[in-house]
Amino acid sequence: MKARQFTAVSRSLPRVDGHAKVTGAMKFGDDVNLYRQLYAKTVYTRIPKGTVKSVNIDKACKVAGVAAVITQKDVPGKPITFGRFPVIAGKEVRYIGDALAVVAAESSEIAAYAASLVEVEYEEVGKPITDIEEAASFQAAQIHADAPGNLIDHASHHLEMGDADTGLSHADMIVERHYRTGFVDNGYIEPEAVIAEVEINTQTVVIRGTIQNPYNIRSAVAGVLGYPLNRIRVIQTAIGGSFGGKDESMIALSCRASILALKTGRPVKMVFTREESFICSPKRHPFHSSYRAGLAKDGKITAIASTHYVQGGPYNKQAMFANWRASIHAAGPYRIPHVDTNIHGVYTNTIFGGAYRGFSSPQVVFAVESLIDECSELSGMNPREFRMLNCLQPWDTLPTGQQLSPERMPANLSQLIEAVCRKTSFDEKWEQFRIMKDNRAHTVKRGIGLSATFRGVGLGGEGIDTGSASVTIDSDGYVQVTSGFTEMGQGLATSLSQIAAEEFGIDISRITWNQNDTSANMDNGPTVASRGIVSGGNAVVQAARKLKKRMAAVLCGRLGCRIEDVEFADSMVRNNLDPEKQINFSDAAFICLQEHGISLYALGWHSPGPQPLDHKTGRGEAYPSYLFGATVAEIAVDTGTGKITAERITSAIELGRAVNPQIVRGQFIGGAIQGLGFAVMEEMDCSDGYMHTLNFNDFMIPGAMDIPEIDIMLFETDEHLGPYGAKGIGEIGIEMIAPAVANAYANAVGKRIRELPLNLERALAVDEGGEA
Amino acid sequence: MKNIRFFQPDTVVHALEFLHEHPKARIVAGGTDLLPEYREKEDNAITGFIDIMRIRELSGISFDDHAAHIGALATHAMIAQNGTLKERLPVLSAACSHVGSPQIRNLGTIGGNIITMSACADTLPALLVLEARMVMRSLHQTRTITVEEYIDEKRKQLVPPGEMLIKIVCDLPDEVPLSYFFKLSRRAAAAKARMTVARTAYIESGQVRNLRLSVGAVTSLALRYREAEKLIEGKAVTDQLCCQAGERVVHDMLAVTGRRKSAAYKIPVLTEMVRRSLEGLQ
Ligand SMILES: Cc1cc2nc3c(=O)[nH]c(=O)nc-3n(C[C@H](O)[C@H](O)[C@H](O)COP(=O)(O)OP(=O)(O)OC[C@H]3O[C@@H](n4cnc5c(N)ncnc54)[C@H](O)[C@@H]3O)c2cc1C
Repeated sequence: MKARQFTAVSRSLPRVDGHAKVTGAMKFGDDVNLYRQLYAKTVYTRIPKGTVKSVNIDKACKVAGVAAVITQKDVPGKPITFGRFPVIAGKEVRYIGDALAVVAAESSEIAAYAASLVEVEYEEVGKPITDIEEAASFQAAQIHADAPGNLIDHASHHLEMGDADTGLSHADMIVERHYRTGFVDNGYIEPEAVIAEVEINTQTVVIRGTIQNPYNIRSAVAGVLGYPLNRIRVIQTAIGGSFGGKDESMIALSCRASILALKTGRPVKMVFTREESFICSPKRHPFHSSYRAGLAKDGKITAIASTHYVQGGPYNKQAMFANWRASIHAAGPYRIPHVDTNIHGVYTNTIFGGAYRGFSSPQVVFAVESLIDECSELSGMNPREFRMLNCLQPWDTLPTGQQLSPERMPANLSQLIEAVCRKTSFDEKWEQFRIMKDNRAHTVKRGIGLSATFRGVGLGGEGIDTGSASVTIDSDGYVQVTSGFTEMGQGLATSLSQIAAEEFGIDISRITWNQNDTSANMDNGPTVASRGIVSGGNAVVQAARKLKKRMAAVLCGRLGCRIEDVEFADSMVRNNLDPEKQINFSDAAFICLQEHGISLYALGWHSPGPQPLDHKTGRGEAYPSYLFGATVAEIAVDTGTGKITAERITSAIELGRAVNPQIVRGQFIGGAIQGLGFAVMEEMDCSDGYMHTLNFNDFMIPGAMDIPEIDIMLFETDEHLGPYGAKGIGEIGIEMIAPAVANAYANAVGKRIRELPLNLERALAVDEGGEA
Repeated sequence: MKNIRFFQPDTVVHALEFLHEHPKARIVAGGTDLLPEYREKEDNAITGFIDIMRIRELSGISFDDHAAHIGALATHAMIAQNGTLKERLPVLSAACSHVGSPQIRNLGTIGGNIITMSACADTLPALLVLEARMVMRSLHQTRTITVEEYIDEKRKQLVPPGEMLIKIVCDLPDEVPLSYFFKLSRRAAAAKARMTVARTAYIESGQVRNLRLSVGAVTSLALRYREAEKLIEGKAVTDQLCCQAGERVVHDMLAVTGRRKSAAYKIPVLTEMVRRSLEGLQ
């Protein structure tokens, strides 16, 4: 590793938004209030599937304090916000979160009361289709007339390398397994909130709210209003958690509030109740995955063929993207000569799948890493040995044909696997617990489980990984940084400020990070896919370097050196060859701006261009690079009650560079906790089309007392991709936990659970021979 | 939208008078049961709230020679942190320390927990084995009733209207019984019980005396399991007896609930939990 001295990055500097957050001063979505604002409430369908015969708003309109009631007729532009999602439904309802009218009133109580007076006549047409098998079956009724087989548009992907049938026929054993996961909510503490107003001077609709992806909101609102993009302005407020979730739900709220703001000429605020948030926000897509693995006597995997069906809900926005990502990762980080992956999305009359941290990887990594563990068992090898034998090595080829050149894979996965196993004495414990499981004297068994992963960096073939940043140096030498990416708790504001400070050689206290505003920055796509640090960071570096170059050109004369010998360090601009010759950064800025009149504003625009990938054949480079990781979970299983307690999680990740190691650890730990919830307790019930999991009393997520010790080993490398080698850490923490826990469970009790979560009932039923 | 009356009396009598005049008003203590319920039920008939938090007579924990007097307004935190209760009534102290989260324990009262009488109220199994008594007062009378009798009234829907719980009285035997409390839930804290077991007993020359056993969250209201108690009473506990007691409890539980879908889980787990509650008496 190249030794490099950093001054601002690679340090756990305090978060730039930390003080405001811990003191409670931070303004979140619902904290924004405007003069003469109205409050709006949505009227939802009462049945999950049916025809709407009439919507009568007369009584609601007559309530004192009601300013406007809108139905689909009042949508000025196109009534669809994304996918097939209606901003307000018309003749047909397809899920329990469909809106039929929206009421704006002087108070939220009046709005809610008036909403309850809207009368709707329905006709039920058949039973709602609520699960994957049913939706995909031949007899199933079609949820959309133009979607035969209930298949979601563009969400079927096929990826093939070699010939899976040949690979399977060469195997000594074929392992066939099915894995399932269900809907899981993002589980953010702050419900969605938005306030829309019409800025009279420019006739611009201004939207403020808890928005993860301001440009998505802008396009959707523009479409619904029939406005050009430049007359919609979206300003993000602080966000109390999003994880991918505050997108579809925020689109719906923003569109409804904007229509009402235009109609009434007053600001309109909409805030979800917890129940609305649970019904109307996206969930992690449920997966049904069927795998066949070919296994040779020597423990090598000869082929993996898998088919996945993914539940999208009624309208879908994300399945095509999430499924594509899944198709690349479905065979895991292993060298497998023959791979065949098929994936489809289906429409259902239920809550819907969308973005949630990991974006399909929690589901496929659970499936494939459980499968790999089962294969190791059948090969008579321990899970570490088996993975070491089969895992990807430099120069190996991925199913897309992409070769892992060493700079794309600086840390061997085998090195990470060895590191976590050594740290946890994996082999010894695994063997010991395997023997202990048959000891009837202990009702509480212990288990240890391993999982490994690789994760494509950024959007890859999903879209172009563009990033924008504008950097301004003011005449006093203080700096403003704005990015097209958003801060939503993940720490991007701090990390990008550190990068700017590093480039200019100044203290981070001189940097002000401005919250994203679509009218101040170019549309660089959404803040997703752990890509903020790579694309956002590169854009900041680029802008800063443009500015340094301009300054150096002006100052090199005074410093008596060539442009390339001008150095920015220690809050000074100096002659690198004669460090005595230096000007402090503030004076330097003043000279450039006031004495020479050069611009100290620069836009950084990072674009790697489209991925070299043929979407028709699936051949090429799916992602520019990959992260790798390995995790060991140690658990206790009370075989008398089915209670699983996580005792320790140990992970090793190769992440390029940790711009802020503490934030990186925070990201990893946060993801791991969500992964643990997915593993053992989080589940949602929409099995009859009605929503039965409506709040945090029904939807259990881990609390502080459930969180085990989490030990993370960071493997840093000098990657070529992001700033200083950074690759993005937002999601890899979540995906390794469920399989590690499920594998630990198998180690503890000798039986497998192939459906998440491993709740009390499943963990116990297995003991009775119910599921094995 | 309706108008809701809000009343904050200083004395029990004022509260009872108001309750008498407004039979559809509801008493609020910590509000941790009532407010979620009020928010969830769209068609509720509540016409007013009587906030009793200011009534001094209802708060506080005191002791006399034979009994602990726990005011209806004693919060779970107050009970769990009270040194004397911890020592003399450990089963109640443990139950209260398992309620919800610190915030809920600081606000939620034992009175509210009993009166709501939800299936998974954590204090009920403990109060059942303690044979705790409730002092109930209405405008014209005061009565004392055991928690078990009150549960029975509740089941038969015979609870008289217009009553207020004043305090809980628990006997303090000279010798503190061996006590056991276990709450099984899906998460380590802030989770409703999947199952709760409370047990007290003495051991005299190797034999179990005065065994009391109660289970919460498996029936709609917590129950004592007297047949299982009898099975062990006066005997030296063996592994076999513990298992038999578990089976007996399951049998009696099923007699109340019938066999539902959840029985597949409940039967083995309840057997095991009862066994565990007794094995320490060996
Ligand atoms: C997040 C959360 C977690 C929880 N976790 C648990 C848990 O783990 N275990 C558990 O057992 N409970 C739990 N609860 C339920 C609740 O907190 C407890 O039952 C608590 O003890 C209720 O007390 P309270 O003072 O808040 O009752 P309130 O809500 O004020 O009242 C409850 C009922 O009792 C009546 N009432 C109250 N006091 C009197 C009185 N003196 N006389 C007559 N009637 C009265 C009220 O009219 C109302 O019907 C939880 C609740 C929440 C919101």
